[in-house]
Amino acid sequence: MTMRAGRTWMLVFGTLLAALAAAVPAPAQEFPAKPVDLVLPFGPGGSHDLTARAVASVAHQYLGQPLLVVLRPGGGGAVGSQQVIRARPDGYTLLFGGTGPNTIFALVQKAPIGPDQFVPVARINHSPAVFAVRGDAPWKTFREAVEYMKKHPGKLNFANTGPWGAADFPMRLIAQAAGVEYNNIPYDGGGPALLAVLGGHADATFGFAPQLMPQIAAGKMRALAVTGARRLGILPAVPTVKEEGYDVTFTMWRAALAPKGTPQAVVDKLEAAFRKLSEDRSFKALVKQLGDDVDFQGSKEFAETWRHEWDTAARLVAGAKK
Amino acid sequence: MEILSLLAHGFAIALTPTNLTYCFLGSFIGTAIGVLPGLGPPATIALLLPITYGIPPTSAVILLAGIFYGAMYGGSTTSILLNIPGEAASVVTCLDGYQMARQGRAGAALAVSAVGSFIAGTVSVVGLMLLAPPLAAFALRFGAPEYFALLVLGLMMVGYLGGGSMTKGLMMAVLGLLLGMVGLDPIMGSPRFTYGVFKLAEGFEFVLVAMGLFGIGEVLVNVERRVAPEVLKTQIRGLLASREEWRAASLPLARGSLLGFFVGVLPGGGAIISSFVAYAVEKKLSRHPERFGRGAIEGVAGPESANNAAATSSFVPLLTLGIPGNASIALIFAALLIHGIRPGPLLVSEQPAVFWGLIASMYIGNVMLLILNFPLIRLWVRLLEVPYRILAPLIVVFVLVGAYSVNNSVFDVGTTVVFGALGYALRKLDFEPAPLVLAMILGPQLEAALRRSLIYSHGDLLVFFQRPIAATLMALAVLVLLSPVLRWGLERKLRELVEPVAPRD
Repeated sequence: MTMRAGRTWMLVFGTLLAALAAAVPAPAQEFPAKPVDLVLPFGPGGSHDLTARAVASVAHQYLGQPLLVVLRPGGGGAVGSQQVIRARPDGYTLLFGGTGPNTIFALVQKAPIGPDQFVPVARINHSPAVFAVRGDAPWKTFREAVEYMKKHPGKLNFANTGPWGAADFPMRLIAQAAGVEYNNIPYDGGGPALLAVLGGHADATFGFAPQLMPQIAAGKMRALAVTGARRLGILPAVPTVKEEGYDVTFTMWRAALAPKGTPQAVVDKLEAAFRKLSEDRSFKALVKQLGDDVDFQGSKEFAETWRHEWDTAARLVAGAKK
Repeated sequence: MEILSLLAHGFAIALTPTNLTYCFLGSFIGTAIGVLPGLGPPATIALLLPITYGIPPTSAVILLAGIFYGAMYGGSTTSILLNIPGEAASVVTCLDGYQMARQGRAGAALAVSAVGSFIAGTVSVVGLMLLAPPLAAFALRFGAPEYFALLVLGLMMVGYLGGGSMTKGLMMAVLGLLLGMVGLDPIMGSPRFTYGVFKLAEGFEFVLVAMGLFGIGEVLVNVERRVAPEVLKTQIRGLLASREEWRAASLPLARGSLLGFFVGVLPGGGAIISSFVAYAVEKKLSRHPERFGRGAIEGVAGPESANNAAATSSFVPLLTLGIPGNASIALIFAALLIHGIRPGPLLVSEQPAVFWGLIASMYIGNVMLLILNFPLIRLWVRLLEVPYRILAPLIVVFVLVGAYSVNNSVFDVGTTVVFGALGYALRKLDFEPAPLVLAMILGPQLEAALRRSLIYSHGDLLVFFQRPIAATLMALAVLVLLSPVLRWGLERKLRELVEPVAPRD
């Protein structure tokens, strides 16, 4: 009887001890000692989600622990972002952030989820936007379209994918750089905006390559320019906006971000794992199917890229709000 | 003839044991999640998406599409039995389906909705096969002004949803419009009624509002009654529908199928809108509109077939234009993308196996769903024999878990509870929640379409009357608005003709 009770007591004590051990933070040199959460501030199924899942599918080999994708959608990405900011800065909770929530939404809605709240770990990839018009449109080059806007201010109907979204933002940058005016019509996402152009209810839009490729192949749409620093691999004949003479680059990036205060040693370890991961062949193939190229940037490098983007965007937002 | 050989080829693909299994799995999972409130087809498809990476693209599409249209079958079950809309498109089914259940006709309502779903699904696949390209061209002609006119027409239906007072119905609609405004405004992106809560920036999730207003509200009203609700006392008369009931349901089934097919082609919530419009149409055409809201079988048959037809025809924009029309189809789009297939105008000619395999699997899937759902009816009806004191807490748990599963968020659970309390208060004060729900769905779309049209036309209101489709729809809306006045005038005229006004003394 006493033996029995003693064993039960031992069992309870042991369990408590184990729980305590789990609660005590693991020392940094052992990082990572448990699975790492990658919080996605969006709902399922978007390109962000698909990229995150591609990352998670190979992460175990390079991190030594599984990477778990946790969906926390809502509030234009603010809900998930804030959860990571409030999490313990130990490297076990990361955000799979992006331009949408962490630059644009942060600036426009004044949400504290920008570069001041995060330490970048690694940028995985980024997609440029593609300026596209209907196949039978009169403009053969991007410069012609801009000239048209110059001659007929406010005449060109531009379908954006939502206020301050991935199409609205680059177009505002271009209009500012070229000094032109256009008629800015907001649609509820990339699909409806593309439909509006195809149906003749708008003249142009910015889209992403995977969505536009089949339309371009069928002659229904024509791509005139891309907003990246370089031309796109799958649209080699389409020049960049910069080549066309307007100093604008804009890409939608996806990056792993850690809360401020995460130890440098942990950030370094994560960065190294993500760097190796970004060279993984099956990972690269998966991302390519999504129509993107992997374009890795480390913690320091990306911090600069992000800060530069943030400052440009801040000026634009401040100008628009006046 | 060419179509027949292509279809035969499609069947050859869809009937392989592997694809048949995926088709069954999809239909089965779809039925299950349709029954579960909260967890809808988009979330389920997203969960299963990684599994489809390893299987051939045609099988992947067959599986995911099965989940999507299967959910439309299952969605009506909880609407009818417990007044909980399993899917957004099943809200209207609550109105008469639940009343039928209370009168002991749950089996009939379930049978009619299963057969209605089957007929509508099949009609819609035939339409999809034969009419996809011209329909896509038609959908392309819908710009913002056309949508606006269609939505105005849709909002007119509010008048037909309430059984009681028109004033109360309109008050509910206004409340719904206001609730629909919570969140970032669709044109400028500035927050409205969010009070700094980021969670509210995307507005109220419609499913949560519907589950609270209908499901929780109903439970609260029921538990305060001393006597058990009639459901338990009434003998369940003849399990399935009677001959008269089938006869009454047949025309609404046909109309619902056609209506759902055409409205579903338009991207953006076609299934939901078509179910509301089908209900209004049936009530308008009925010789006894007063029966609606009290267990009219037409009020189940019309909307249930419409939402199924719309679910199928919402594949048209994806398969012909390469543009997904709703969240579930967007995920199917993503699944194809992963396999290196980019849906677009050339899909049918470049990937005939995917297109025809999918079409054939939809024929098979609809038959499977009918076979799967019919025996289940018996089981579901038995559920109502569970004593309410046990059933009620189960329903509440079921709804709250469902609410949590939408976004894994406790805030959402709170939202559902708050709307449950509102639903209870409304019920006690004799307000109908249905107009609120309709206005909440249509309001934001109406606003966006109106402002979009006016930006397009540089502020010229004539844009709604100069374009043929928009003008026709507007004329219809005016006609619906004036119809009571017209009818009153006509009836007076007739009376005068029949019995010349005799001076009374």
